Amino acid sequence: MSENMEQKCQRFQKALDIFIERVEKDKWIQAVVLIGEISPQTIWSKEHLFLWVIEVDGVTKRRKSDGGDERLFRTYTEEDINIVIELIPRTRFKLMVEGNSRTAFTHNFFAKRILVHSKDSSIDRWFQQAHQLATSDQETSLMIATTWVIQPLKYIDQLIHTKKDIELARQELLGVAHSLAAIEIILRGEVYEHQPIYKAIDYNPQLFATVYQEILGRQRSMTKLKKALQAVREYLEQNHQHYLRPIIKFYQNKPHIVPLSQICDSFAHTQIYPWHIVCVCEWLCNKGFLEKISLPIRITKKSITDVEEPAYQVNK
Amino acid sequence: MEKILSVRGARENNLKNIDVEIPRDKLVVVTGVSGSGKSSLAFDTIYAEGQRRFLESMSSWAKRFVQQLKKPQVDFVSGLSPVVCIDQKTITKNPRSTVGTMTDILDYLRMLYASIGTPKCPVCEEPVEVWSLYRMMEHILSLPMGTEVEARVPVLKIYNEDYPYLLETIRASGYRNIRIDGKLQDIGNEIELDESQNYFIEVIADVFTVQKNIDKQIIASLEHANQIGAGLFSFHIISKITKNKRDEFYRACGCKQHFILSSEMHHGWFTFNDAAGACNTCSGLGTSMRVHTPLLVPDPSRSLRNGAFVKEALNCDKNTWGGRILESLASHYKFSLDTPFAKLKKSVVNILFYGTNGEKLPIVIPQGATQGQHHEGKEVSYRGIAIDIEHKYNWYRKYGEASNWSEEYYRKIMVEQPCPDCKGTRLKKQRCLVTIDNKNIYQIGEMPLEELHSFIQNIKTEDKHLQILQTIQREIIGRLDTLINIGLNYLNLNRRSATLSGGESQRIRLSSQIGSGLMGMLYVLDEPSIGLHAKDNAKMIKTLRHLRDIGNTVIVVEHDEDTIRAADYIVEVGPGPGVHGGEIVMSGTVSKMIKDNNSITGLFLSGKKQISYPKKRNKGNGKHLEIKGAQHNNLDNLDIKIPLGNFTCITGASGSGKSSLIHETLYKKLYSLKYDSRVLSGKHTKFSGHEHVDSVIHIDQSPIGRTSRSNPATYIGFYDNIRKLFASTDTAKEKGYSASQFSFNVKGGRCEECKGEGMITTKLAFMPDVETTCPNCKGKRYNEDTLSVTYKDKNIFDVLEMSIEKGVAFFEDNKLIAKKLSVLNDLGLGYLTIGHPATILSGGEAQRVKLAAELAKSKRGKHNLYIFDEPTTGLHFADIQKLLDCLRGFVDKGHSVIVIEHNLDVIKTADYIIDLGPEGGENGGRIMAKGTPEQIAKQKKSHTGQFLAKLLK
Repeated sequence: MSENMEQKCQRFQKALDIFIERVEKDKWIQAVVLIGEISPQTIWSKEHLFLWVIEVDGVTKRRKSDGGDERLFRTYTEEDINIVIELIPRTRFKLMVEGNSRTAFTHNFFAKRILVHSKDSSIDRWFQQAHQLATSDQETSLMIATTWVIQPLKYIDQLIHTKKDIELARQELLGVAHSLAAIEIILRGEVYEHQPIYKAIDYNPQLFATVYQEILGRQRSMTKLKKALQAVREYLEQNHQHYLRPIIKFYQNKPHIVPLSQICDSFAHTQIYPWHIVCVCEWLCNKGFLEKISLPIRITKKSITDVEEPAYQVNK
Repeated sequence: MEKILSVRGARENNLKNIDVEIPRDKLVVVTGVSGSGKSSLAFDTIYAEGQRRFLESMSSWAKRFVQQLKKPQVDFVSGLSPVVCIDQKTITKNPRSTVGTMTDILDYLRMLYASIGTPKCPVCEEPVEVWSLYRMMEHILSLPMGTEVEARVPVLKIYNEDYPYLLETIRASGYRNIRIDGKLQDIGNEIELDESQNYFIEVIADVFTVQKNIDKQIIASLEHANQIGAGLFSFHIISKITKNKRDEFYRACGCKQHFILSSEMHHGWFTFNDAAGACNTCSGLGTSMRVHTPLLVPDPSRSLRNGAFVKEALNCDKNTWGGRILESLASHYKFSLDTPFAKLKKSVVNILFYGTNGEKLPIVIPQGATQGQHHEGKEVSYRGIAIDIEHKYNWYRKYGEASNWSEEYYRKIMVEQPCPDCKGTRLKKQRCLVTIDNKNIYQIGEMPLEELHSFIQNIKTEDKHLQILQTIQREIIGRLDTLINIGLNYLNLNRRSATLSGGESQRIRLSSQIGSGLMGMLYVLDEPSIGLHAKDNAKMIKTLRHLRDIGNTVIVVEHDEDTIRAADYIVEVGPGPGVHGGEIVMSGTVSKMIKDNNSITGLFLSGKKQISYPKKRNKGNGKHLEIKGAQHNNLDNLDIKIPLGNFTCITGASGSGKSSLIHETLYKKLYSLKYDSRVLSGKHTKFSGHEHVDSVIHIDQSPIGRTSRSNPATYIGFYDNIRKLFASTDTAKEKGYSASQFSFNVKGGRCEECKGEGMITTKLAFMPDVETTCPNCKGKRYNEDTLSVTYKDKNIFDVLEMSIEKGVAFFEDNKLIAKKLSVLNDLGLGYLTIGHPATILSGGEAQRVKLAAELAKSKRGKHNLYIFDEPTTGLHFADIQKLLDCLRGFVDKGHSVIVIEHNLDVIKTADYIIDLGPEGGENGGRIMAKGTPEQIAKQKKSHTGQFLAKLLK
């Protein structure tokens, strides 16, 4: 007789509880994190439990079977359910949480994980902090999400005007709507989750009615498509000072032309990559905030001939 | 044990199948005129055979890892023991090598600092305690259960970077929370900091809640935090706890104000050759580069359009950014690109180098440009060529992107300066805060060795460290004693090896051998007296005797009279140089040598022959070079007038400041005024008289490059003329040969079987390489077609085999070649062949070839200034006379000669002497006497004067 989702949830929960009960007595285990959740909505596809087990530093030695990967995985079983664990030393875990929790998307990485056992109050604190999106991280995340909106706009224009492919343009625009949804979530300091569009519709119903619901509807027309595109552009126009602040702020202190390689260098420690920077700079050039010029650069360290790279300056 | 070292049938280089017996455990001097075969006997036969036999004793497996030596041309050598060679050729140019690293003293010092040094708080500079991570852990765990402790790590701002960069670096290292002046901040939030302010920034490395079994967790966390904080920590209780417990915790925990503790210090912290100690900005080099703007414009008479700037710095092509920006600047600031650079206004030059300071100007597209039109009219600011280059240089350095090409380019246009971050100390700031008796490791490295000796001897420490201190003290003092005893008391440990003379470098290596205390060894030394003042020479001889007395055989190749007289046994090779030498003229004691009329050295020692000196001194041309306020290194604010048009000798004890005055100040100043403005001279307040000198030529002791493909003709440069001469013959013209046909370095005329070497080297895996005469050209280096071309019935190979003496007559029709050959001949090198491989030139011969190369340069003016640094290196008494004749020849032609010298035979022949002293290092740098040798001899306070007085009697 096949079990229903409720029963499956209970079975998985029981396996987890037994496992936690055992490791609670283990002085070398600091904390256990459940990856994903045990709920009727998500359990239907689950075959096993996946946990992070945080151990005291320097305890576990690598085995041959661990191969060349830095990460250590082990599989145990409780109640006939396999429990796959990743064994993480405490210090490395701290780096994962504090060092790398840079953007809304990596925040989400931790948000979708549940601390199910902890003997270490520091770990509790890290987890708590990982759920708060700091302002600088928020700016970075906003800018990255905005590039996901900016980038497809030109392509959509080309699909409409050159290829005359309205259907493909519509699909692309739906993608843009999801990126806009990410922006709305980040904007409110929330953690980015799956299907952000539903939350975003609540936050900005007018915009999403135009750029998502209308486009998704059965009655498709070029007018609706153009109206949606116009709405996206106006949205960007109104908010770009805020959404693209990292680059705008960078330029406010630069009286001279800055080559792309130098801008990328300044953002080297963030998760803002060169293509994000080019995308933003080109958009800001179109808006007249920046002016694009070019400066000489050599491709390799051994090159002796110049090529030119984009360089930008504030257009006063 | 056999007490004789016996050599039978030695035929290496010019040795004529000689047999010689040398007593063991004695101080033996091998002497003879330059090129007579002294080095061939001592180094190429005795040392080479000893070393070869030692390597031969290794297993075949081990032999694969070391280069095997060729068996010398000798029948048999008996009585050999492990042999160590200390020559003058091994001078490292590595900027990381210093006297401290060469002598291993720095290694002991860093162990000393790591063991007993006192670190200081980077903020209040109060001494802080050194705790191991385990002790810190135990201290935390001594708190009541449940107490929360914040572990913090102080960090310093990164030089030349802003605060956001520091914060991003901290974040990338895995830390999100920091305290700025005590206030908790989340790096994830925007933090506004004033770049001009100094903040006390602490990274929150971890927060520990005291409970059982967290010991490993604490250690692991602190170990990781150590990577970002350079070893300093502070611990702060952040939960509620009784006052008593809190006070007890803090009482023993670091400096009173910031509670900073140091983790256990590692010796790697105190060396600039370890990332843990090296300054982050210069990576431990102590220097950085900045653009020297005159170097960007090698020829200021050129206009900007004509490429006034160094090509790599700014491409002026009209289709490039460089061309566009120049055109735009010219149009905006109203100057012409066709005006010679030297005539541009100062304000324009400033803009070109340092930019428009934010002012924008419209881009103008040069006439005839086919690209870049889309930029026209855009308004841009310009950063300036110098700023741009420095930015690129820093970028290259930061990311390790430098290539050979870029390094070479940057060296061409930039000059070295002390690193602006570490100010030349080469170490991180935190490392310089660790002191012993209030001196950090850099400061004691600056002390002259004698001062360092007394400093080390007087270090006091707690009882628990006493044993460590005594062990390290013993090692350092032993080494310092040896260095001081051989007259190197004036050096300091921070002195770069590349700036040492050959003699100094040899004596340092000698000191480490003495320090080893081994017995039964065979030491072979090359002229250890070089660079030593007569008074220091006695110390050197004492050291050699000590080496002998502890049970070693010491063979010294030497020309110095005092060393020869001090020897137990002397071997004279000769009688003449090159083919005229290679025989044993005499062997025995000094008294035997003095009586032997065949011995040229004996004749000089007995006084039967001597170097003459002029009875009347030349007064010069009445003009002077004048330096005021010379303060480079140890120079004591000297004011000095150097007469021109005569032969001036600069004397003084080693380290008394001779090179600082003449090379670093006088020569560099003249060089910068005459040729290259990037050369920065030693500190002085005024310099005058340079208008009386047309050219300045400096000939130092650095060895000439030696490859089998170089010879006197290629080194001096007249081989090109010989090749052109052959190419101009009718036969060559008929065959269409150019000068390159007669080169053995390029394809065409050379024998391809041996690639123009004349010999074929066969490499054997774990046996020495075997050299055989090329079967194709029979050692003639050229193919038959080339050899068929003759000039005055001699082909190119015959010319290479011709002696220089004969060459002068052979090339009498060609003035240029004849002149250069006669310079070599005049310097006593007539016996060498024109193609004599540089690899087998003796030290003295190489020195004279180098001298000839400088002297043969024809572009000099009417009044040249020749500066020589110990030109008698490698020269026998008999050769010194020839050298002096040559120098006197310059003076007779109206030139001026300045010689830095210790050799009294040279000093006594000078027209004018400037004696510095009285000692080396801090006790030197003053003028002890000046005047003619006769006047100097009367000066009792001058060491040189005292020695001269004996000679001039």
